[in-house]
Amino acid sequence: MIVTKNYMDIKIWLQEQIAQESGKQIADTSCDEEFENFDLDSLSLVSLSYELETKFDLDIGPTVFTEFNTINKLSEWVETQK
Amino acid sequence: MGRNSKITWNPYTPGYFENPYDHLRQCREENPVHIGMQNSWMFFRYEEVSDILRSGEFEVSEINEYFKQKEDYIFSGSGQCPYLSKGTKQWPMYLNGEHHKRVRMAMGKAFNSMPLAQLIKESIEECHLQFASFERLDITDYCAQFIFLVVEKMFGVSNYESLDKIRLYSNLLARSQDLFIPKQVYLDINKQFLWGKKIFSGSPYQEMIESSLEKDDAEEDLYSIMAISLMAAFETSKDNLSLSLYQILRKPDLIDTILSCSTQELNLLIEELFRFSSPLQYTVRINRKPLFVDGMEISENSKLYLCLASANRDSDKFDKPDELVADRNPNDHLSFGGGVHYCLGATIARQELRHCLKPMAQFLKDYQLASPEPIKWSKQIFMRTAKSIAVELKK
Repeated sequence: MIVTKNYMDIKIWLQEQIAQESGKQIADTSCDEEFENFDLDSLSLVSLSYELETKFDLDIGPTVFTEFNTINKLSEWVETQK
Repeated sequence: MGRNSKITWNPYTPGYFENPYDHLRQCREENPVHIGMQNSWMFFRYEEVSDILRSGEFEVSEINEYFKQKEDYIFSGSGQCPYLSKGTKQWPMYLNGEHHKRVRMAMGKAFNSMPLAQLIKESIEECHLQFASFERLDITDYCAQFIFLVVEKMFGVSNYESLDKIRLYSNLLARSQDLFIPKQVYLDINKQFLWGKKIFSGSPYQEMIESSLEKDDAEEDLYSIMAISLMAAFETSKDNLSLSLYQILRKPDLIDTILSCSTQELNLLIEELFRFSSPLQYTVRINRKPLFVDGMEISENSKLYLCLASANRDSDKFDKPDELVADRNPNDHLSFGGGVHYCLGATIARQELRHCLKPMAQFLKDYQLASPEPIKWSKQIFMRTAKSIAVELKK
C-alpha cells in the first residue's frame, strides 16, 4: 500500500523499522543518531531500503542510508520526493 | 590515485542501469583500485582483473557460507524452510579446490554428452514457427522461448512446467548472486528453490550427473547441481543472446554481414559481441595473502570485485573499446572470466551463437528496434539483463 509522504508518518515508520531491525525499543531509537551506530549490517540496510521503496513508492538504492544518515534527515528527504 | 580520489564505485549513480560504461570508465581512469561499498576492493583495469583471474593465488568466495550466516535473519518469522544455503552448496563458481574440480567435471561431462548443435537447430526452427508473422515482438521473449526449447530438450523440464515458471525460477536463482539483494527477495528466491525440487524428475541430464557423483552425495547436492545447470543454461544464454541481438539491431548492417560471412568471420563477430555486451559484469575473488597494488596494501581475505565489463572496455587493451568492431582480432576479452573458474558454459554460449545467429539474422532482417525507447534494463548489477527489447516490422 502506498501512503502519503507526511514527515511525521515517515519518521514514526522509520523509527519502528529501525527498532525492529536493530532489536531496540522505539524509545531508544534516536532520530538524530547516525544509522551506522544502530549496529545494522549491510543486509539489514538493503532490506530496509527495499521496504522504504515499496512503502513510499520510491526508486532508490541502499546508498540512501549513507547520503541521509539519520532518521530525521531521511524522513525530510523522503517527504520531498514526488 | 587511491582512497582520496573523488570517484568511488556506486551502481546507484543515476543512469547506471541504462548505461554502466560511463561510470565504469570514470572509475577505471580516475580510481582504478579502491575500497568500494561494503568494504570490498574494486578493480577496473584489464591488467589487474586479468592477472587476478588467471593467477592460482586467489579463491572464490563461498556463497552458501554467506547464506548460512544470514539464514536466521532472512527467515525469522517467515515460516519458510531455509534452502538458500543448501541450494547453492554445489554451485561450482563458488567452490574451491578438489570440491570445485569434482563438480565441474561432473557438469562438464554431462554438458559434453549433449548433441547440442542438433538441439539448437531443432529449437530455432520451432521458435521461428511460433513467432512467424508477428508485427511487433519482444526480443527477450523471443530469446527466452528459444532457450527454453533448448533447455527442455537438455534437461527434460517441458512436461512439468511452462516457460513463464522456468523463466522466473532461473531469474530469481541468478539474482541470488547479485549485490544488494534484500531479505524480501531472498525469501522469493528460497520459494523458487523449494518449488524447483520437483522439476528434474526423470531428466536424462540429472541421471548423467548422478552417475558422476559419489554415492554418498546427498539428494540435495544433486538438486543444487541441477539448479545451477538450468540457471546457467537458461539465464546466461538468454542474456548473452538478447544483448547480442540488441547490438546487431542497433547496427543493422551487421545483419547483412552475418548473412554473408564465413564461419571464421562469424566467430570473430561472436567474440566481439561477448566483449561488447559483457552480460556477466563482475566476478569476485578472495586473496589468501596480502596483496600490493598501486602502493596500497590489501589485507588477506579481502573481497575483490573484478569488473569484467570495465576490463573489456579498457583502452590500454582494446583499440576503440567502445565500438563494436565485427572483425576484432585478437580479442582476449574476459567475458567468461579466466583461470580455473573459466565459465563452464562458455562452449555452450559460443555454440548457441554459432548455430543460431544466421537463422536469427534471416528472421530479424525485416524488423527494426521500436522507437523511441526500445529497451528496458533490469536493475541487476552482476548480470546485465534486459527486461524487454521491443522490435517492429519495418514499414
